[in-house]
Amino acid sequence: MADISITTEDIPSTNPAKAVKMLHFTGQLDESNVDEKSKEVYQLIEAAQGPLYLIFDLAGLEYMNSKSIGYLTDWYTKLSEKQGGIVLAQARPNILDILQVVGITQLIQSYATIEEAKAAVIQ
Amino acid sequence: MNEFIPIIASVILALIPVVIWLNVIQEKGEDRSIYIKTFLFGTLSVVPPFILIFLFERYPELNIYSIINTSVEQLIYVALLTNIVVGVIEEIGKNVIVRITDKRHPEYIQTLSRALKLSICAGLGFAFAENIFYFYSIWVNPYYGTGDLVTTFIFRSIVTTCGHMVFSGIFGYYFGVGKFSADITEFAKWQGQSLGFVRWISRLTGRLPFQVVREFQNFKGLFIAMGMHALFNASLDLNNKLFAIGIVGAGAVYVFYLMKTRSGRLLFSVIKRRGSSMAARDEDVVLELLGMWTKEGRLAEVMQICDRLLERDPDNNVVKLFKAHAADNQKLKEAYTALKSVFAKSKQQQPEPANQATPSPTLSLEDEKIVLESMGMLYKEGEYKKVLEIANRLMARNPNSSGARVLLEKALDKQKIDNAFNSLSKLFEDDPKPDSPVGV
Repeated sequence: MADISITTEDIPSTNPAKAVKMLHFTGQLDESNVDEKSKEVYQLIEAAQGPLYLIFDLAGLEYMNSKSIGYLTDWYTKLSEKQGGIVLAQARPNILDILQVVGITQLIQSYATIEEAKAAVIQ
Repeated sequence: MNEFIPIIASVILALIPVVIWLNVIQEKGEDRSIYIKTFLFGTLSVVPPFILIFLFERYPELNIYSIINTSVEQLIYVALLTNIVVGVIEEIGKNVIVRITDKRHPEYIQTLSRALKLSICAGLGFAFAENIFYFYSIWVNPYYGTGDLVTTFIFRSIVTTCGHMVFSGIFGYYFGVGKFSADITEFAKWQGQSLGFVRWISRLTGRLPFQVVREFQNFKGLFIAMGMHALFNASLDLNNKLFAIGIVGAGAVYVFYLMKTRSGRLLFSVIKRRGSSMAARDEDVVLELLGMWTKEGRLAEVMQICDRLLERDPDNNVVKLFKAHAADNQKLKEAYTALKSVFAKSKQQQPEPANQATPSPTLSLEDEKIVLESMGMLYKEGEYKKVLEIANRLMARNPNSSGARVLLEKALDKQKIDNAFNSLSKLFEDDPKPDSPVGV
């Protein structure tokens, strides 16, 4: 089973109606762990009362499989329905390459640094 | 000299459907000679059945037809069993011709559609040779007249010749699937098909999985062709011409559809494949996703991803297959939805709300009559969309206008039929074919 850890951090927002959280991904998201780990993200989304923005810090993510891309689009749809969203930050070139070919980057903005991602969300 | 006249006339008669069908099969820009060569080679496929007939006459104890006739009582079983033998022999004969042609000229078959069309030509060759034999037999037989010859000519030229073409076309398509089994097996793998049986046979026989798939597909196509052939012949023997025509008709629609599909026109054989600019492991993730979303029916997304992936890996046949398969399924889905809407019980059409801040005044009966007359004219001209628009506007003004409601419902039904017809025609439309082999 591949190792993956997702740690969540609250990000202070200038808009009190808008919750912002950062999720740090470290390791590999593959068939052995993706279903289990996705539950944590779903719990965050379901618990949100109002608009929720998630910043995915992908600096430590080495690999993501097709299922995790499917989950990513689903999380994005669910958050968009609540007027929230997802942004990506610090994705490695291979991960970004996959996301670009799949077309996810047309839906979800990707930023080179955490600061840029935060700035895009907290405004 | 006179004894040659029936032979020459029979050959000329048998050539008429050949010329027509060869013209139908050949598409613009295609080299006609490969079809003619395969057709001529296909005429040889009558040799094995004739040799068998000769052997059965020489050694009656081997005559399987006599054995069936003497050992089976019920006519229906006699017809079925006899014609299974006929189907097996004749389809194998035609299949061998296609295999030999492909062995000698592998460049001929680079698409599934081409495999199908060349096999049709082999079937046409068989039908041609068989037709000569039938026409000649009737011509020289004093018990038959001109009427019999004309009837036989019409029936054999249309139905029987089409039958041979359809049966061969079906095994030809599967022959193509077998020929390109390396890519097609890979495509199946990414779609989540387990291929457990293939792997088991592969281990058992020591052959590569795609080689097992190749033989399996060949056998599958032959099996379907033989079965259809046997049913067709048996129906004729049992004097059920309508059923026989039905088999050929349904088969022809299927073969024509297969010929026109995007997957069918996909060019498989690229001598030198360009490399991918994406890392293999990353590309695998995308392929896996394509398989997942294909299964979920997210066809538009699949096609978009394929376009982007093909920019990075332009000669990847598996990606091309995903795209073609999605395009074909999209068309089928549209046709199914359009057909379903024709047969679905239409709900009572509600007029669209008038897009006005203040309600418009009701039309007088006389004015309504004029509008209804114009709508009637538009309906006759087939302008159903305009009829719908006017009916909606009229009903917003006169909600109880029964004339408007009737025309609205009729136009709605006609529009549904038009949509279904358009969607069905799209299934058989020629796609732009950037993948067609050039000069072959």
